[in-house]
Amino acid sequence: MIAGWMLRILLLGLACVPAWAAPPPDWVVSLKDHPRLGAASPRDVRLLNALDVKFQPEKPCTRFHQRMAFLVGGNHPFNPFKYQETYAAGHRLEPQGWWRVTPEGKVERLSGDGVRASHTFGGDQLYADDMVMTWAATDCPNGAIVALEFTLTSNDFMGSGKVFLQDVWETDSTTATFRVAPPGVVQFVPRSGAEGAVRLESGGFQAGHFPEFKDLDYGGGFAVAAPRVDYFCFPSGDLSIPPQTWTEVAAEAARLWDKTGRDFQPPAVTELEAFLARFETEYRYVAVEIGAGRFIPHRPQDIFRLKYGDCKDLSWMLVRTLQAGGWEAFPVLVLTPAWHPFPQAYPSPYAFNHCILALRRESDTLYYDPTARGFGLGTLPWNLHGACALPVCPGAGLIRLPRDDDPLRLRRELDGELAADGSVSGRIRWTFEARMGRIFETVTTREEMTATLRRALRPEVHFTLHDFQIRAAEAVMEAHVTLEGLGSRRGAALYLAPFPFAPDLGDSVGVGSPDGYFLPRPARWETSVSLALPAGLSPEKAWADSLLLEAGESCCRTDSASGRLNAFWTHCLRDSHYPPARKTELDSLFQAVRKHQRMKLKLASGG
Amino acid sequence: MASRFSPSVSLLLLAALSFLPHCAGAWIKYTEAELSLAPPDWCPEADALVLDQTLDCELTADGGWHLEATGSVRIKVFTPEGKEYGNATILTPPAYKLGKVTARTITPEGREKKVKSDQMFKEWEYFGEDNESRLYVCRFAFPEVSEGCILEYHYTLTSEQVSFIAPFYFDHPDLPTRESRLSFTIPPGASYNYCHLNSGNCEARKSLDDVVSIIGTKKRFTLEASNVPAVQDEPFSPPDDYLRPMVCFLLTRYQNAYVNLDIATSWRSALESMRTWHDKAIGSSKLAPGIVEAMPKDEPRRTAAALYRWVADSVALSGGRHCYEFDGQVDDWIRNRRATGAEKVLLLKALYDRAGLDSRVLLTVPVNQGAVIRDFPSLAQFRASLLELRLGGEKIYCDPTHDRLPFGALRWNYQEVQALVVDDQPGFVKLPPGAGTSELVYDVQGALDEAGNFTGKATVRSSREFLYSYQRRLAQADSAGLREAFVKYFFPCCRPENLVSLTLETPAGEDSSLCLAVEWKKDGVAEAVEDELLLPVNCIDPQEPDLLPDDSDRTTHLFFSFPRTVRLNATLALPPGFACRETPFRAEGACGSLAYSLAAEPAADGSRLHLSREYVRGQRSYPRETYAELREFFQGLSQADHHALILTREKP
Repeated sequence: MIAGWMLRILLLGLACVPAWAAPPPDWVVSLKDHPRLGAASPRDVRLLNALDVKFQPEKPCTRFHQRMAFLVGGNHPFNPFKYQETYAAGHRLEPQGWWRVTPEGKVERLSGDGVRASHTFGGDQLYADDMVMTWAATDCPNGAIVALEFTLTSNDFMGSGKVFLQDVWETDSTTATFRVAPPGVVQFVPRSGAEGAVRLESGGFQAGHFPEFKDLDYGGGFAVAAPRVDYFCFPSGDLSIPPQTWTEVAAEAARLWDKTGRDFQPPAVTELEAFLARFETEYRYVAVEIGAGRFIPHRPQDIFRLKYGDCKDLSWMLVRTLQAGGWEAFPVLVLTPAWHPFPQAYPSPYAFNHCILALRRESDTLYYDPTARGFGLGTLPWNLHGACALPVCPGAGLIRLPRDDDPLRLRRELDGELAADGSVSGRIRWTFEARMGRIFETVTTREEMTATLRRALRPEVHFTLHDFQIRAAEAVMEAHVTLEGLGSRRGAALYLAPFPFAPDLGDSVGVGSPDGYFLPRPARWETSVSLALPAGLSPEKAWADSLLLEAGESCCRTDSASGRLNAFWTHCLRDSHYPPARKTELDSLFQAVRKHQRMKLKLASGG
Repeated sequence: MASRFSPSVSLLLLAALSFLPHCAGAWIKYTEAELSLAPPDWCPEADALVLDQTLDCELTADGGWHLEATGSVRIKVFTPEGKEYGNATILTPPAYKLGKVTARTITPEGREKKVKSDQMFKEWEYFGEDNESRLYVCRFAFPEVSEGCILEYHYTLTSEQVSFIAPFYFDHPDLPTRESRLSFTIPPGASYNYCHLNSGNCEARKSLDDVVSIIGTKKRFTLEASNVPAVQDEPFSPPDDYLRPMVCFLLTRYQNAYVNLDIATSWRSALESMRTWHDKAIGSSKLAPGIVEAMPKDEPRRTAAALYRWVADSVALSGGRHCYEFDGQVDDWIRNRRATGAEKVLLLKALYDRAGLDSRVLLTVPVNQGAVIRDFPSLAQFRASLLELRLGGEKIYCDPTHDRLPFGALRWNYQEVQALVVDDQPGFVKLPPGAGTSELVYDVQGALDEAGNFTGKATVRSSREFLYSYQRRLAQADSAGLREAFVKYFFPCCRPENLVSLTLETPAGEDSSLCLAVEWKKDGVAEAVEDELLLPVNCIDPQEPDLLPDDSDRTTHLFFSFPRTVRLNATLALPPGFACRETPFRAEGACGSLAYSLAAEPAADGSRLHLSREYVRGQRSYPRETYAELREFFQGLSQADHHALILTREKP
């Protein structure tokens, strides 16, 4: 009897070994023999990333188990060591231990005190629904390895996603295993240069070394350019039958959203434009994204009362208000920016990261982004043009938001007088012929105008700002300035570089990403300079040159009459995305723009 | 905006947050005038204004001394941009506990909208790159924020840490402040000293005589300021200590026992604890027998240099510099070959002691991180420790923290700053100046083609600060990393893909200079104008100039990094058929310790150009009063840089 109790106590004691006393798992112990342990690395390295995903669509549930090992290198964030994992607030992230392997090969468990969960960092994170888990340790010298393990669980079927093979640090090895009950299968699609670098296997894949990701000019950013494998789980086993259709996703979203807005009694709205203008004054956007796991808005009555919210909160409150006023309005889920890859063939609410609203009229549908102030009803910020979107209403399917084929037009003018020493006194005027959102709100003080001019003008041009005007209604900014550095006197001649502005494009389009080149939105810059010339000086020759390509154009010409010099430039980009094969064309265009903007004239007596 | 005072010992890390009321929830009555307030004359362009911020602290002796503080902040929003202050963050330093937080919005019509307690998010967050900078924060968003509204929040703090209360900032990092008040009430048996910095930036600060009042048996300090401007965000601004008005308190008497009597005694008292920590760390260490004995013994200086080199090179820096926190003992650091900066300094001292060399630990603040406050006898203000070695009559200053620093050298940000000597007799020393500017020299050979494109090669040599800062980074980098770092630090005019070749030529172990060989190309350095090429004098200058804002008056001093001389010597072959028939061009300018000279001289046959440019920035900071003069200097330099040489096509 006593022996039995002693045995029970002993077993209980064994079962209650505290986490800090538990031996490290084998995969951690094996890191003692890792060839890079103790190596002085100038960069941070992720040695190992082992992901194990289990889909349980019937529950529903998705479980991600991840093991990672990092070689502590020379730079932040791994010296001192800090790793952060972002996840949706509705999900559960459970750290399962972390260890330090010293350069001498000693494996030590790190304190749980260094692991903390918090809301996503930033000033506007309230309501953003994202959490971040931080692993932070102070005593991990260069050459040490830090290993960590965690499980992320979602009570939802998250059948699609991305595994990035390249990251902001050097990566040595990535393995991923996916499990789903038969007859389910998981499809893998390597993207952005991953095609030749990943070994696909049944139920998973492996990839080797990648250098740290570098953001390239016109490369489109990490989400587009970093090699990755997209995965899609098909519980039916048939790759042509996704778990749900877009119509089902929309209907389910509509059902869930509808629950939150039933008892909201908004004020009557009669004048739509005035209502939206008041909305933009009174409400503020305090979130950065829709949240990876929770796309259900807060109650519209709460948003109405608080007068702040994230994209879906503001959209839903507006939709409910407009619906009460008799309008046909509905929220629209959207992926922004529009050029990010969108999994059209695999319907899922997780495909979106933003929410706007739509107002259907008899003949058309107008869209409105409540987080982008200054655009008004019917005009979307350019990064939403052509984006894939899903109206949150029963019966809806996937749509594309309208594109504004007219490029952004910006007209710049310098009208003034050229002095004999090469300085110019006059007015610079910017006219924006397209809606530019908050552009005029960013310049209100003299300091802000000075900063705007400093950015706008060539670095070698020095200016004195005399006064300035902002006429937001006319979309005009105007500054009275004196410029030095446009011209230089050499004996009887005056050499003039009449284009006063900073270059609009780089020297070349660069190396690009595997998916091509992502330029600023289609745009047309028109610049004119008109200068009264010093007595007796005129250009020796007029100047004219142009290049017209499918990608865009660049033209420049000058003339002079009645003692004035006039110069005109037009630069145009016709699209925002170009495939890699068009590099030569783009480079030609960039070089032409550069040549035209750097054009110089020689003014001489009797020229 | 982080405080330089160590969070572990400071009372209030009052950054964006600061200030507390009597009890959270005691709303301040607003006035009609405040509801209709417009930006005052002294800040007419403000997006918002801190109407008042208060912090009322009280030291209580109930079951042991502890501190209770209440604070309040009220912000008036004027513009749409000012609405961003509706997203609030309160930071709490580790030694303090954040209590109740209440907040409300007063709409322009005078309606009250409170923030619900379930919308207050309290959690730990990490700041910056130092994992020890973990703070407890409270974030919330005010409801109904609109132009004209007033945002108000209150909070409470408690702490058992009562020896040091610092710092209270009278300003706000982003906004002008109308009224700012700190009160600190202490019971009988307690006594505090206080000191304030930069109070000249406030109007109407009460005089010292008015600061202390007696309330029954208690004493209250009250410091107030009004019309405090926001911290100016200007290029090359100095650290907060030179700008922001603040006050710190230090305990001088505790339960009728004097902790410190005067400043000298207070420093002595502070250093006693420091020496205790030192003794504990050195203790009865064996110092890994053989380290000292293996060093050269013929001459003390050689012994000292060898021991310094051993600590600098053989013991890895771990966890940061610190200056008075020690983990373990000297023998542990030797065994692990790993120590913090403070531990490395103490280890070096232990080795010097063993070798019979006289040395003393110094505590200081690098000039780019703050200032040493001599009237404030608290160790919490220091950021780094160094070692003063005495050899005969000579004093040699040692910083073994980094492995590239030669024996006896100090980094630029430690030169000419005050340092506290950790000794029986506390005192301050001024660390010695450096030996002039650090040099960066480019020797270039290149050629231009008809289209104005350049190809060429150069050797780049640099000394001291460039060496200390970059050599290790360059030496450890792979090929891509080397290009990237080179362009970033030495060749910002160029893109990595325009480098044809790049070699780090500095011999291993070389500690006096850094040498790189580079070959590169750059298109369009000269512009074609009809039959001429216009070539700016600075066409191949690899460095970007120090540019100043064109049209503003500075409110802060100009604060650069280390003094430097950047020199370029170039020979440029002109395109076939072109010649430069201009007379030699020369330009020079000077302003105090700033100077430049440029020269462009065509060869006799006109086929080549010799270009030279020298730029000297002899100081690390320049007072704002000289800004107009400096602006002229830099504009003169820029104009000279862009002076165009005319290359003409020769007729056959």
